[in-house]
Amino acid sequence: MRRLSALRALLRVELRDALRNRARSWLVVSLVALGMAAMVGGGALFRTARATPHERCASVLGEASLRVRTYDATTREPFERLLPPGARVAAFSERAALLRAGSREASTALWSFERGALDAGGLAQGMLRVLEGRAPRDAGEIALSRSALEALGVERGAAVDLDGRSHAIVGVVALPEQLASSIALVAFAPEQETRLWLVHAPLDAQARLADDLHAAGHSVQRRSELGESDGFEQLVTFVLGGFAFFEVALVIGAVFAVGLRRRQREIGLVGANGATAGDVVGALWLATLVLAALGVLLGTLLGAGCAFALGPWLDAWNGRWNGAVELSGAHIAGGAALGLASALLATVLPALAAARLPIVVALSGRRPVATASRAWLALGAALLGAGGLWTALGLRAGEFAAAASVLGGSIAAVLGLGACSPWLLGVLSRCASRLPLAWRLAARDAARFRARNGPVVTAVLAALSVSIALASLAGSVDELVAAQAREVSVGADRELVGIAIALSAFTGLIVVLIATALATTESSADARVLEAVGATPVVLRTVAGARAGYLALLGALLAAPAGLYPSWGLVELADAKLAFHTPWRVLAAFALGLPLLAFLSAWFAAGSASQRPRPR
Amino acid sequence: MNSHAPILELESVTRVHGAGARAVRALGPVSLTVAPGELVAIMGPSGAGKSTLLALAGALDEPSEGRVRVAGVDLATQSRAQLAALRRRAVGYVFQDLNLLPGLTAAENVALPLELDGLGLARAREEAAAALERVRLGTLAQRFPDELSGGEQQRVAIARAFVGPRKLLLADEPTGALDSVSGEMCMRLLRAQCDAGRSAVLVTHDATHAAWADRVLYLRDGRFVDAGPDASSPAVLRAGRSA
Amino acid sequence: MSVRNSLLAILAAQPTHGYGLKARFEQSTSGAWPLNIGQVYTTLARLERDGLVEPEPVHDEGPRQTWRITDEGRRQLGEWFASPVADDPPPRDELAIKVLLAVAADRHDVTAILDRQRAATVERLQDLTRQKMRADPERELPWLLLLDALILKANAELEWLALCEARLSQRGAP
Ligand SMILES: Nc1ncnc2c1ncn2[C@@H]1O[C@H](COP(=O)(O)OP(=O)(O)O)[C@@H](O)[C@H]1O
Ligand SMILES: [Mg+2]
Repeated sequence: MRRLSALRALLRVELRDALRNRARSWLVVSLVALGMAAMVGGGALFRTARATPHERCASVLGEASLRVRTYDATTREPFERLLPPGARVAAFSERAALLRAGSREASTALWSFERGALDAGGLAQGMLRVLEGRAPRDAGEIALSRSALEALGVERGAAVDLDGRSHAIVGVVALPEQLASSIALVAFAPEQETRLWLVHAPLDAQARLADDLHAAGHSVQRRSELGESDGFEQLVTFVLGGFAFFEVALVIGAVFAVGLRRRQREIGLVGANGATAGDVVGALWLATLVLAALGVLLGTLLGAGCAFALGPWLDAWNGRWNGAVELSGAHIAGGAALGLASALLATVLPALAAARLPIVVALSGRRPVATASRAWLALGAALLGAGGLWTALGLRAGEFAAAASVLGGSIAAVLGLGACSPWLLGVLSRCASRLPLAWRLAARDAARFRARNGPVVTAVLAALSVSIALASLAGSVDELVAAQAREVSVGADRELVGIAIALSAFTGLIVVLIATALATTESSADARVLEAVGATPVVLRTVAGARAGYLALLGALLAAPAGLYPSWGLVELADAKLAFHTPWRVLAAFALGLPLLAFLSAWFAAGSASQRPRPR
Repeated sequence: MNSHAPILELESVTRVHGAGARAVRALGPVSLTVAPGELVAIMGPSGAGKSTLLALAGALDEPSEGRVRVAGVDLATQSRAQLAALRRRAVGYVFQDLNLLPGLTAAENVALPLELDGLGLARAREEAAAALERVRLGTLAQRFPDELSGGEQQRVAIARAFVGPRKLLLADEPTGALDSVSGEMCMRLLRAQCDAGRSAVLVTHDATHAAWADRVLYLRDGRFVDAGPDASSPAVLRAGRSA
Repeated sequence: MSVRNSLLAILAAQPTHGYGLKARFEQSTSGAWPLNIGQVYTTLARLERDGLVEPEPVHDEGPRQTWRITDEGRRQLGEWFASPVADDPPPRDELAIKVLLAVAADRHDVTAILDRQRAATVERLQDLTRQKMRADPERELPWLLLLDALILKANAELEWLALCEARLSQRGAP
C-alpha cells in the first residue's frame, strides 16, 4: 500500500519530467517505434514476399499430392489404370514453343491443363495464375505472360501464331513464383497425349502409389517431400527483430544515462524525503514502460502502414505473385514483448546506479568515483574469452550445437568488445594530445562521457558487424558458385543481402547521429565557451562533425573483427568447399565512408542548430 | 515518547572520509542535543564540517564513530528501509536552493513525503495545504517552482520540512541565495514554527539570521569552538542576558 | 555633531522648550541615545550665539523659555539633510585597535580574543533580534529601523571577525 502510493507520487514526477523534456521522450518513443515498425512491417513484408511451404508446393503440383512424369506420353485412360480407386487425376503438359507476331518472335514455355484443373478446387490450382482476362477454352485461344506480350509487342485481344496457326490472346497469365518468365497457356485438347500428371490420392495410399509408380520407371514428386517447416521465417524475423531491439536498448540506455545524470540532484532530493531505492527504480521503470508502450503502439501502426503501402510494389521486386500482405500476430506480440523488455533492460543499469548513489553525493552533484571502466574492461575481456572458448568447443560438437555456439560466441564477442570500449575510449583520449583541436576535443569528450558512449559504440559495432558478417558469407557463397559454375537462383537472395548490409550500415549511422545529438545538447556549455574565445561557426561545426566521426570510426574498426568472426565460424562449420572471404570493399566503405558520412551529417546539423536565436 | 525528550542527539560523533594516509576528518568528535521547540544555529568557516553534521543528523550519511539519535531512535540500529521511513516521517531537509522538484506544484512538493509514506492522496493534499498555510503561501499552492520567487521556493521547502508528523528541520544555508528581506521572512517563519513546538538546526553564514536562534554554535575544523571561560557550557553561546 | 542638527530638526517642526526638546529627541530615536538636560541647554546657547535659533517672546503662562528656529537655522538644517554622512577620519574603534595591537604584538591568543568577542557580539545580536521580533512594524517603525541599523553594525563586526580569523589561519598555513 505504501509502495503503491509512493510509486504513484514518483511516477507523477517522472511523467512530468518526460513532458518537460519532450525531445528526449520522443527519442525514446520513436526508437522503440522504429524497432517495432521494423519487426511488424519487415516481418509482414518478408512473410508475404517469401513463398510459404504451401505456395511452394502449389507452384509445383497445385493442390495434388503427387506430380508424375510418365515414361511415355499417354492418354488419360492408360494412366488412370495405374492408380488405386478413389484417386483423382489431372493431365497437363509443358513444352518449349516459339510464338510469332508479325516479324517478332518469342520462345515460351507452353503450358496446358485439363479443363477445370486450374479452377478453384482443381488439382492444379496455384500452379499458374490468370492475372487478366480468362484462361483459353478452345483450340484457337491462348493466354500469355507479360514478358511474352512485351517480347512480341502485342496486347490482349490481338493474335499470335503458334505452330503456324493463329491464336487469339484471351488473357494474361503467370507462374506465381516466376512472374518474369515467358510462358503461354493454351487449352488442353481432349484425348491429348501427355507425360505430366497431377494425382490426388488418399493419404494412406500415397507412399505405396509413389513406390509403385517409381518402380514402373516413372518419376514422382511427392508433396510431403517438398513441404518443409515454416519455422525458418519466424526465426529470421525474431533474430532480426531481436537485433533491432538490442540496438534500441543500447541507445535508450545511453539516453537514460544522460537524463539521469542531469537529474541526479532531483533523485537525491526524493531520497532525502524518504523514497527508497526501490521506489525510485520502480517509478523509472513504470515511466519507461509508458513511453515504450506508446512506441509499441505507434510502431505497430507505422509498420503495418508501411507494409500495406509497399505491398503493391512487392511483386515487381521479387518476381513472384505474393498475394495480399499478411500481418502476423506473432510478430506483433513478440515485437511488443521485445520492445517493452528492451526499454526496461535499458533503464536497469542507469536507474540502479542513480538510485544506489549515496544521497549526500547525489545532492552535491558530484560524480561518483569512476572505477567503472576497469570493471567493464574485465567483463569485456571475460566475455571475449568465454565467447572464443564456446565457439572453439562448439565447432567440434554436433551441427545444431555448433551453430548455436557460433551465434552465441559472436554475440559474446560483440558485447565483449562493447564492454571494453569505455576503457578503450579512455586510453585513446590519453593519446589524443597531438591531434588537431576538433578531434582532440572529440576524443576527450568521448572519454569524459564514456558511460554513455560505451553503449553507443556497442550499438554501432553490433549494427556494422552484422553487415560485415553478411558480406563475408555472401562473398564465400559467390566464390563457390563461380568455381562450380552451377545454376543457382541467387538473384533475389543477393539483393536481400545487399539490402540487409545497407540497412545495418544505416542503423549504425543513425545511432552515431543520435549519440552526437545527445553530446551536442550536453556540451552546449562547451560550445558557448568556444564561441566566447572566438571560435568561428566553421570550428564549431567541425567539432560537432569530429564527435560523430570519431565514434563512427571507432565502431567501424571494432566491427571488423566482430563481424568476420561469426562468418569465419559459419564457413568452417558449413562446408569444406566454402572458403573464407574477406569483404574488403565493405570494410573499407565502413572504415572510411561511414565516419565521413557521420562527420558531414553532424557538420550540417550543427550549422542549423547554431542558427537558433540565443537568449541575450 | 515524552514531549521534553530531545528530538536530536549527537554523541561524540565523528565522520572520516577515506582511509589510511588519505583519511580526512570532516567532523568531530562533536556532541549536540536539540530539545523540542528549539532553534539551533550553526556557524563557521567553509569546510568546517557544517554540512557533514547536518547530513549525519538527517540520516543521509553515517558517522564513523559515535551515536546519532532522532526522536530517541538510534540511527545505527536502523535498516535502510527504516532510515528512509525516518526521512519521510521525522526529518525534513532544506538546502540553499533547488529544493523543489520542478515537475511538481508547490502543494505536490509539500505532499511528497506524505505520499511516499503511503498517505491517501486527499489526506496528503489536506496536510500540504495546512503546511503551506502555516508559511502563508496558501494562495500559491498550485504554482510550479519556476513560477515562484526564490524566497517563496524556500518557504515551500520549509513547509515540506514540517509537513504532517515531521518535527525536525535541518537547513543548510537556506537563506544563502536570498535577499535580506526574503531571508528575514524565512527566519520569522522558522522561528514561529519552533515557537509552536517544532525544532530546527540551521547552518548559516549570516549572523543576522543565526541571531534568530535560541543557541548559536560555532564550528571550526570539525569541532565546536569553546567560547571562553564565561561561557556556561563548552561550545554554547548563551543568550538571554538583556543589556 | 548631530545633537545640534537634531535639535534644529525638532524646532523646525514647532517651537519647543528645553525639556520638550529632550523628550522629543529621545522619543524619535527610541531612547537609544539618552540626552542630559545640561547638554540641551549648552547646545541651545551655542545655536543662539550662531543665530540659528531665537527665544520666543515671553508669555504669561509659565516660567519656561520657548525656542524657535530662525531662517538661517532652516537653511543649515536643509543642508544637513541634503548632505551624506561621512565618517572621515574613521571613529576610534576599540575592538579594531585591540585586535590590531594583538596581531602586531604577535600574541598567540589572538584567536581566543576573536572567539570571545564573537560570542559577545552574537549575544548582542540575539538580544537585538529578540527585540525586533517583539516590535510592532506598524506603530514602532522608527524603533524597528534603528534595530536594523544596530543589527547590521553588529553583523559587520562579526563579518570582520570572520575575515580576521580566515586571514590569520592563512598566515599560519602558507
Ligand atoms: N566525500 C568527501 N570526501 C572527502 N572529503 C570530504 C568529502 N565530503 C566532505 N569532505 C571534507 O569534509 C570537510 C567538511 O565539509 P563540509 O561539511 O561540506 O563543510 P561545510 O559545510 O562546513 O562548508 C571539508 O574539508 C571537505 O573537504
Ligand atoms: Mg556546506
